[in-house]
Amino acid sequence: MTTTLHRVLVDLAGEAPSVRMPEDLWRRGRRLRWRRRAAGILACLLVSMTAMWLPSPNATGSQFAGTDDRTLPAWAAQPYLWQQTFSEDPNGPAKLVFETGHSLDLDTSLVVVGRDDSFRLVYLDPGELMGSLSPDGRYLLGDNLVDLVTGQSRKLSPAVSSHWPAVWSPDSQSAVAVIGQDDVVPTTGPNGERINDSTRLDNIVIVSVPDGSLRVVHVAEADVFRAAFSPDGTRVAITVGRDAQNKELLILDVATGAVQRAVPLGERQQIAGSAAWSPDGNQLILTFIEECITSPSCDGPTPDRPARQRFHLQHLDVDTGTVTDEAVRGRQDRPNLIAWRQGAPVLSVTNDADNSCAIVRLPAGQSPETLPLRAAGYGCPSYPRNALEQWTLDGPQLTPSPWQAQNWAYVVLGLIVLTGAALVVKLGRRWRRRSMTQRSRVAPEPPR
Amino acid sequence: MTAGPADSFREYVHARLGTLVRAAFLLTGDSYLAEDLVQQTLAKVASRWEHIVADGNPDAYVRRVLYHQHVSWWRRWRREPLPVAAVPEVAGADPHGPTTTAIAVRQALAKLAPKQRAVLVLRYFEDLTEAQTAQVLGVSTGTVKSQARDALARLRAVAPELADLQEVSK
Repeated sequence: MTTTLHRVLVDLAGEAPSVRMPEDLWRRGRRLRWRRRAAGILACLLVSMTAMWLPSPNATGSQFAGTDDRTLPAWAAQPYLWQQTFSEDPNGPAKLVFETGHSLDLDTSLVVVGRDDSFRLVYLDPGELMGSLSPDGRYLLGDNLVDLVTGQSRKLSPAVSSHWPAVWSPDSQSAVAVIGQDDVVPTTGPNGERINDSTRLDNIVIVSVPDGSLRVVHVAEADVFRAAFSPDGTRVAITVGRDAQNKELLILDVATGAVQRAVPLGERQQIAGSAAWSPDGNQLILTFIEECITSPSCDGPTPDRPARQRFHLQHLDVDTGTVTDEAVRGRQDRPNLIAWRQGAPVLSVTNDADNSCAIVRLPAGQSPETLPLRAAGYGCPSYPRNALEQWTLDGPQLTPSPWQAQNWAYVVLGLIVLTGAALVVKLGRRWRRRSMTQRSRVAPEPPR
Repeated sequence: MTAGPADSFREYVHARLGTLVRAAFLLTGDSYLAEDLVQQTLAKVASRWEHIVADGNPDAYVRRVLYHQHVSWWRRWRREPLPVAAVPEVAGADPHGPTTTAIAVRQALAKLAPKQRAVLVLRYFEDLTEAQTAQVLGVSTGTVKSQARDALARLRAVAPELADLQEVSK
């Protein structure tokens, strides 16, 4: 190293003017720091917001709505606690719906699984029931008529009673439901006079879809209400009566409400379910309860294990009113006929003791076939009737995408990422500080 | 009573201002630009002062900011270069002693790329090693060597009295 250049540079540096720094240098630094931090936060927010709208690699969200996957899954898993809500991003038509307690809502929630395999949560109000899924999977009729494709919810006026689930016509364009008129608890005034009527008759109505208009087709006591539409949708079979001992099956003309046939039913007989009318239109399937009519409150072998309900099917000839019993006896659990598949009835059977559920096909003269249709959550999942009858079964198990999340979940995730990033930066600084301290032991002081 | 960060910053500026201005003057070749460079450097330093003090070696950090700021200025403004005085094609011998040499070197420095200038100032004014220079500039030692070699060759061409300048590894 020459001393000449050093000397020349020192000489040159000596020509530097004496400078007086402005007094606000510290404040300028602080402003710079504030701007830097604000820019950092803004950048993080922008990244988080961008990430929120980016499709995830395994996303099966509504961007794929409209796909026509005609397979029912063998199993549907629980939703994530932060799963996207149906109201925020409707995902209909539904492939299945089921009730779950696995949500941040304190009450039971409904899970809607779309045809694109997306999962959405519907937080039910306390006491609100799931409602009935239309055969095409597009509508859900409970306290409100909900279009699962658009998310539009129509409040019916007057409200139909969710105590008796509505039953859909095969074309999904109407449903039969009950408007309860009873005053459930008899009440008397100050002088002992009755001020309400617990015997008032109920209105049985046809709900038109999608406008939600109501038309009364029959007036009767509906305490034992069940219904099933004929395959062509022109007739509907209903059971009416004050109690199980006084029960009558009526076949109504849907257009006029005229009663075409009335058949008294015994205490143990009931319409088998919403799909009880046979596909050829000639028979109506009834269930005959052999044991434990009042499931699940029957006494079982031990106090903590109530007896399981037993039943067999009956075939009611719609034209003659004659009833024929099937050969089999002693089928177990509480039945509900929900579809027909390959000419045989498909029933969901619920064990009221443990609320477990199976969906079985009962081909005539053969042993029952348990269908691969299960889901997490409570009781039996609901499938669109058309899907049960026409779609392929035993599809892949469905699990929700964790990225189909509610907006707050992305905020929480963003905060976690920010905290992690801050931690990494802090550790990095500490590491750099340590290495700089070690280096500074050998570094010379700058010339003065 | 313990001094706050603002007080310790002011004390640091008071103690180091002259050094910083001299280095900035060598880098920029202009007293006004040098003043601006030092102001910007110190404002940046003030924005991170607590961390810098905690690191325990403010000089190293301040030096790094000063040189990087200078290079980034050049990157920003290289499309609009400031006019500089014409440099003689070949300088003759120095009949008037070191003052003339200083002027020639000053003009030659103005013709160098900012990184070359920074290397010369760090190596031959601040007396840093190649490794320390590389660390301040955030480049490899090899880059420091090549930049120094090119810069010295330029200086030798402009100021023959500096013909004995050798690139020396240290």
